[in-house]
Amino acid sequence: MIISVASGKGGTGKTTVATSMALSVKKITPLTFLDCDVEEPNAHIFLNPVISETERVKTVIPEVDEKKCTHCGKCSELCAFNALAVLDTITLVFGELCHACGSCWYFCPENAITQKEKEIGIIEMGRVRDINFIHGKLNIGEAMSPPLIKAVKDKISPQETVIIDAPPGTSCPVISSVKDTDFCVLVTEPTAFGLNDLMLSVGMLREMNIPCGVIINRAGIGDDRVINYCKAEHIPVLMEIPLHKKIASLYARGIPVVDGMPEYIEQFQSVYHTIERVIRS
Amino acid sequence: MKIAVSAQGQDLNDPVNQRFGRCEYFVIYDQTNDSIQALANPGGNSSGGAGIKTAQTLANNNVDIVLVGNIGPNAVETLNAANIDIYTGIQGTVKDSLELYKKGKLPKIEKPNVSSHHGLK
Amino acid sequence: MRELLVISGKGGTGKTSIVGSFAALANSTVLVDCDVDAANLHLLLNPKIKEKHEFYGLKKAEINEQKCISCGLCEELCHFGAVKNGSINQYLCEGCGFCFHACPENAIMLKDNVSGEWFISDTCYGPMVHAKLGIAEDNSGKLVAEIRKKARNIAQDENINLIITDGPPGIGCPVISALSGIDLALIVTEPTLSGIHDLKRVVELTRHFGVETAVCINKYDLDEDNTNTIENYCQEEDIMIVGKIIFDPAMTRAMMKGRPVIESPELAISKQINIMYNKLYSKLIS
Repeated sequence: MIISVASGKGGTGKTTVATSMALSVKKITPLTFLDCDVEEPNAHIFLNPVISETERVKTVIPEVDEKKCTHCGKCSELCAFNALAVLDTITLVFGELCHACGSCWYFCPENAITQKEKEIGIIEMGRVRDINFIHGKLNIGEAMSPPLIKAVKDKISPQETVIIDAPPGTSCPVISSVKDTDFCVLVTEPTAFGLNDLMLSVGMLREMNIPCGVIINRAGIGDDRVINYCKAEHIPVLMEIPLHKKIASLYARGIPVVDGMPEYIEQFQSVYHTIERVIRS
Repeated sequence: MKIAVSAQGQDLNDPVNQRFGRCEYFVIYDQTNDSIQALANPGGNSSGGAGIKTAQTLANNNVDIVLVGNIGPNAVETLNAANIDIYTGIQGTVKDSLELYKKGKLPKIEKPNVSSHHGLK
Repeated sequence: MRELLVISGKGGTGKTSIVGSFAALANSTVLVDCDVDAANLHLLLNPKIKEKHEFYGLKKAEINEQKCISCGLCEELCHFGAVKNGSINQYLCEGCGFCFHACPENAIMLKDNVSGEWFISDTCYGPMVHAKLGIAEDNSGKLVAEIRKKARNIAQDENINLIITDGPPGIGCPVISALSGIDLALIVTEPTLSGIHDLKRVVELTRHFGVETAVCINKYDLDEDNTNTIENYCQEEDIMIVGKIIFDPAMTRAMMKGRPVIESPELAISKQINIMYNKLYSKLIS
C-alpha cells in the first residue's frame, strides 16, 4: 500500500504530517518512507536518518562525434527544447535542457550522435527507528526532477507499506510523485488560500483517478469553508490538527509532532486504518 | 560587419530590450552598405533554451557583433562558438545604443552577466 | 519604473498577505501575481477581470486515426511512455515531436496546447496581471516572463512608476524568471529550521543574479532562537532586515475576509508592515 502526502500550497505542514504519520504507522507495520521533494528535501531534518547507501542517478544526453558531424543542422531543428546549437565548425550540446527524447540520435543522417550518461542527482538510503528511509537530492542547477523522482520510486514495490512526501503544487514533479500511489493525503489549512489550492490538488488527483482525503492543519485559524467543501465533494476529512503553540514550536525546532506530543500517535494510526479501509473497499 | 541590437521593435527609434533570449526583434545594422534590417526573434517563443535558439538564429544570419543588456551563459557559449562578439550595456533606443557602441562606450564581454535561465519550466 | 519582487523560498510564510498590504499602501502601482501554479493574490484584492488571454505551451502530439496503420513505431520510440494502444496520453507527452517526425504515414500532428490563461484586471489599488497554469503543465517560466512584460507595458502606458510582484515559491525556474531585471527583492521568511534552510538557498539565488535583497522575518515571535539565527545570518551576509512582523491571527482573519490586513491601520502588525513598506520604497527610489 502506497500513500502519498501532498498539498497544493507550500507551508501547510505536509512534511510534519508525513513524518509523524510514518513514526506512528511503523508501530503497526514495517514501513518505507520516501521523500520525493527532491528540489527541497526536508523530511531528513525531522527524521535524522543514518544514511548507509548512496546511488548516483543518471540520464542520457547526446554526444556529437565532430569527426562525423557535417553541421547540417538537422538535430538542432528537430530538438523541441533547444538543447543543441549547430554552428559552422562545432555542435554544442546543452545537457541540462535535454529531455532525452531520442530524436537527435535517431535522425542524425551521419550517425554522428550517440548517448552519453549524465548525473542529475543522488538517492540516499538508510534507516531511522525501524523505518527504511529513502530520499532523492537533485543537483543544484538541474531542472529535470521527474527522472530522479521516478528513480527514487523505483526503489519500492507495491507490496510494501510506503509513505511518500511529495512536493507542493500541481505541476510535473507532483504528478510524478503521486502517480501510481493508492491514496493521497492532502494537507491544507482552513483559510481562503488553503481552500483555493486544495481545490487545484483535488482537480489534479481526480484526473489521475487517485482517491484522496484531507488533513486540516492549524484548525481554528480560519472558518468552515474547507470542511464544507470536503462535505460537498464527498472527500473524507481524516484529521484536524489544531493551531497549537507547542506544535508550531516543535516544527520550528525540527522535532516531529509525535515525538513531542505522543498523544497524536493514535490519531495518525487511525488515519492510516481509515485509508486502509478506503483502499480495500 | 553586421551589428545586431536586441530591441522591442523593428526600427532604429524603437527602445532596446534588456533581455537577449526573449527580445522581440533584432535590429541589424550592416556597416558595409549602411543599411538597416529587422529580424524577428524566434527564440522568444521557446519554452526553454531561448538564448541558445536566439544565438543560433544570429549565427545563421551571419551577424558579427551583438549589442545586449542581460545575457546568460548558454547564449554566450553559443555566440562565442559562432565567433560573434558581445557588447553589453545597451540603453535607450537602438540608435542610442549603436552610437554608444561606435564611441567605444559599451564594454565587450566574454562571460555571461546573468545566470542561466535554463529549463524555464 | 521600479520593480519590487516579494519571494520566500518556502511556501506559507505570509508572502502574499504582505504583498496585499503593500498594494494598499502604494499610491500608484501595477500588481503582478507570478505564482502561476497556485495564485492567491486575487483572493485578497478581488480583481475584476477585464481581459482574458490563452497561454500556449509546447505543442503536444496527437494521432490521426484515419491515417494510422498501427505499425507501433511511435509507441516503440517514445521515451516517455506516452503512446499506448494507438493513442497519446496528454499528461505524459512532453511535446518533443519525435513521433511526429518519425511516423512513416504522417499520421501524427503536433497540436497547439492551451496550457494556461492570463488576465488583466482592475483592483481598487490599481491594475493587476495574473495567470493560471493548467494542471501538469510546464513552461511556467515562460508564462511568468509574459505576464511581467504585460505589467511593464501597462505601467508605461498609464505612467505608473512602481510594479509590485508576488513571486512564486521555491528556487526553480519560475523564480529565476521572476527575478530577472528586478530592482529589489524582499524575502519573507519565518523562524523555523525549514524557513532558515530555504532562506539561505533563495539568498544564494538573488546574489547569483546580482539583485539587491532585503529580508522580512514574519511571525518573528514564534521562536526567538531561530529569529536570532536569522538576524545573525543576515548581519554576516550584509543583508538588511527591513521588517520583523509579529504573529497576529488578525492577518489570517483579514485574509479570510478577502482584504489586506493593512485596512485595519490601528493594529500593531499593520504599523510594522507600514514602516517596512516605507523603508523599501525609499530604498527603491534612491
